[in-house]
Amino acid sequence: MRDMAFGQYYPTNSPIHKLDPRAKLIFSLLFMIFIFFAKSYTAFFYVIIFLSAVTIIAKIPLKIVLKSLKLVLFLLIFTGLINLFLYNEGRVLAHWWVFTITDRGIDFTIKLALRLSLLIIGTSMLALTTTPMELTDAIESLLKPLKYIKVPVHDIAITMSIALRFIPTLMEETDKIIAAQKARGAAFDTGKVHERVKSMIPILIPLFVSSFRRADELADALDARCYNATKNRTKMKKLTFTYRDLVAFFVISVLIVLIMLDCYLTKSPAESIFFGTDYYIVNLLKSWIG
Amino acid sequence: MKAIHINGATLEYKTQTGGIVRALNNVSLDVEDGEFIALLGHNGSGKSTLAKILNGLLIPRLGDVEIFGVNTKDSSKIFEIRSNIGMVFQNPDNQMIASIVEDDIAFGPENLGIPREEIIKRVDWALEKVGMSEHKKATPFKMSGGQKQRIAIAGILAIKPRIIVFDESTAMLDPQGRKEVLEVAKQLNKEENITIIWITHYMDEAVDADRVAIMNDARIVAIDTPQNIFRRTDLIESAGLDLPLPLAIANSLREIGLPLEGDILTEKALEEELCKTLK
Amino acid sequence: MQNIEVKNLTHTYSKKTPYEKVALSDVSVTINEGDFLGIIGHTGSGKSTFIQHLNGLIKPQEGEVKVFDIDLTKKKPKPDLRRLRQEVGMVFQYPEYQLFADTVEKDIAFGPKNLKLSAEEIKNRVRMAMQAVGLDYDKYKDRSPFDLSGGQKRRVAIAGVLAMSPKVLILDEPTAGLDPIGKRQILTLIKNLKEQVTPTIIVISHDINEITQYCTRLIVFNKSKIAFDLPINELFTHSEELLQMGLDIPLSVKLNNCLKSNGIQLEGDIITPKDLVLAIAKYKNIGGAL
Repeated sequence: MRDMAFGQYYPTNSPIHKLDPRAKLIFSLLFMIFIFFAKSYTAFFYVIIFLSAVTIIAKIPLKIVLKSLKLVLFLLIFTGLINLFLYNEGRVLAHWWVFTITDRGIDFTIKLALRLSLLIIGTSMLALTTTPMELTDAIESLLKPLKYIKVPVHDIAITMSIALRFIPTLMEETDKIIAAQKARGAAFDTGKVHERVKSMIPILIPLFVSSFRRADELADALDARCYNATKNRTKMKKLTFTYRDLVAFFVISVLIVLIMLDCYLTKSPAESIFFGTDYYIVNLLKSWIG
Repeated sequence: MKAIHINGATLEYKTQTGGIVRALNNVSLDVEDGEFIALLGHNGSGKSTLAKILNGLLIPRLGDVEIFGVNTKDSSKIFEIRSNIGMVFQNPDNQMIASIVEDDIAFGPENLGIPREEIIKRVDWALEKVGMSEHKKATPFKMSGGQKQRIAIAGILAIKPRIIVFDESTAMLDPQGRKEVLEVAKQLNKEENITIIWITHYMDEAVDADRVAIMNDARIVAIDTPQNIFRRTDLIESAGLDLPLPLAIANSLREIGLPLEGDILTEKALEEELCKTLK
Repeated sequence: MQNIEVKNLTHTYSKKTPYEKVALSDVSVTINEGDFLGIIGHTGSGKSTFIQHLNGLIKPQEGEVKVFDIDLTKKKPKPDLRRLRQEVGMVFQYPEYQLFADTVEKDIAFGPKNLKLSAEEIKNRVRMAMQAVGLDYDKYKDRSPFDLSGGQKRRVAIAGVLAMSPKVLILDEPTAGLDPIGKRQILTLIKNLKEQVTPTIIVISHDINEITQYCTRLIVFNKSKIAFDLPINELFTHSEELLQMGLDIPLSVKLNNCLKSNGIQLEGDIITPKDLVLAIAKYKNIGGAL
């Protein structure tokens, strides 16, 4: 059955699963940013090594990891083809009508596909090893400082938690209503567009009615359980950073340094990001090493 | 001090079409600490409204409600009242807020700002009390109605209330689930001395209560021991209720002239009396 | 006459996933015209999956399902689901949750409209269905179904299915959640429907004392299989087995068994309270008026 509470979560008892969800969230954000600095095949090689290691340590079957790519396969192929045919800098290898294939076009396309695939695999690592509830806790904890500018962080977190909790219930309910209306001869998959839209009414109205009833009852249940009793709410689950998170942080830092070094080694000062100072530091490092 | 003291509570509500319906009409009720009260009545008799004035979800227009001496009108003490009187509702799906059992149970004590170590203790204790300890880390989504409802009870227990109101908490359950939930309520009443208000329209669930109250037309029309209440067949009928099945059978046997003795409210009582009389 | 024939039906949910669950295994049943059939069993014993096959909400995976002349197993030509759903009416649990229209009349007309009947015929059907469930046409047709009491809402929902003029009516837990008055009304309604409106009725119920008051044949589902399929007077010779499955038996049967073990032999089949009272009257030779 569909259970959103676990989403894509793949339960194994691995050190990656046990990482602090806040750490994982931050690492994922860092990963998402720095993957765009991977410019050479060497850099992609580092990233692939890194993700392979994470997959192995997390004990997630390769098949499951690659499954996350399936959803965006169409996007990958589509952008791939467009770039392959319409990128026309570099040495021309083939030409037909408006389509041109160049050596740099091939290079660009492969790198783009790699970058996109690795980005998706990297972020799905977070979903595979972290439950949505852990993520909710992590977001609540990371957003805590916003409390001081009167953002209702806790209410947001509770709302997210309730949404997660009710998605499967409402999906089940939708299935039931569809079955009941089908039993009364309703057809949802035939007819013109406006007929199909109209045929949704017998599903949507009961669903709204029942959602409002549920919301009403839930509000009473929240009140009965002393919601808003005190501003000094406590939490049973405490998130704590451990040595494990430190090790993970070290590993991801090494990856970032490798990517950035590679990035600077393969490009000219004109492409500098921080007004040349970064390039100066890299050159200094280069002279030390070499 | 009385656990519950209701004096002349009256409350109306508006219907969607603009009419006014009186849900409670001059209702008075006193409940002692540790009592098990069953509240019977047909749909629309005012039972649920009565439940909701107990913990201040609704405030009566006239009259007073006191929970261990604290008036529900005193809005500064509303959370003191709500932590003293817990409430389990009808639909088990609509009272759970988290997708993991232990997170859901921790919700109440977290709201009250109980220290973390104490919450962990309470969650374990509450789960043990309802017999769901091995499901601590599970998701309630795929559980049976009875199991979900027991988790809802644990969520209330973790607040450590002295009274628990069950507002038709067995109405949506199968016979197995009904048995489980009623059993837990009886046990909490005995072992933890928690006062129970058990609202239902299953007559057989009322036979073991200390007292049974009958509601009809927004009033409590009778309150007495189960034996005395179910002797009043006319009252039960006019309130749109049934007799417990064993008693109904016993009454028809008496009608044809079989001399059955005593108050026969349970299956066991009927079995014994029938064997004795026919032998 | 044979209405429904099910042979060796097997159904597995979420096949080839970690959540795989066998719901039906090797189930064979024949349902004849005029049957007043009860289905009992625990939640999750397979009874809901079984009845959903009977009006095409679930496609048979293995085995055969034939309803009248519609063969649901056939791929070509595709089984006529629209006609099937007209022949087999299905009232789900809490059917009032499927109500959606702003008037009682419009809601009940939803089924006949889907059958593309003439306006006049639709009106006749609505009138007939409302009469069958005991709702006065002129008084209730323009009321909003959402303003009615729980029991009335349920009767409107049942009328919505009856308006399809089914030859077989299936009701899943028709009295669930109702108070004693509501229950009594629905029970009387079902008995009347059987006598006057629908020749074949199938009821699923958890309440053994209730279902034995009207059904003449009972099917017991246990662990995705049919444990018993017997006329009601024969079923309870298997009381021990039923109790072992954790199922309830009628109070009168229990009492009779208890009397038997105490050496008191009553005559005749004893299933309902009425049977018991009559048998005891006969045994003691009292209550001659009965």
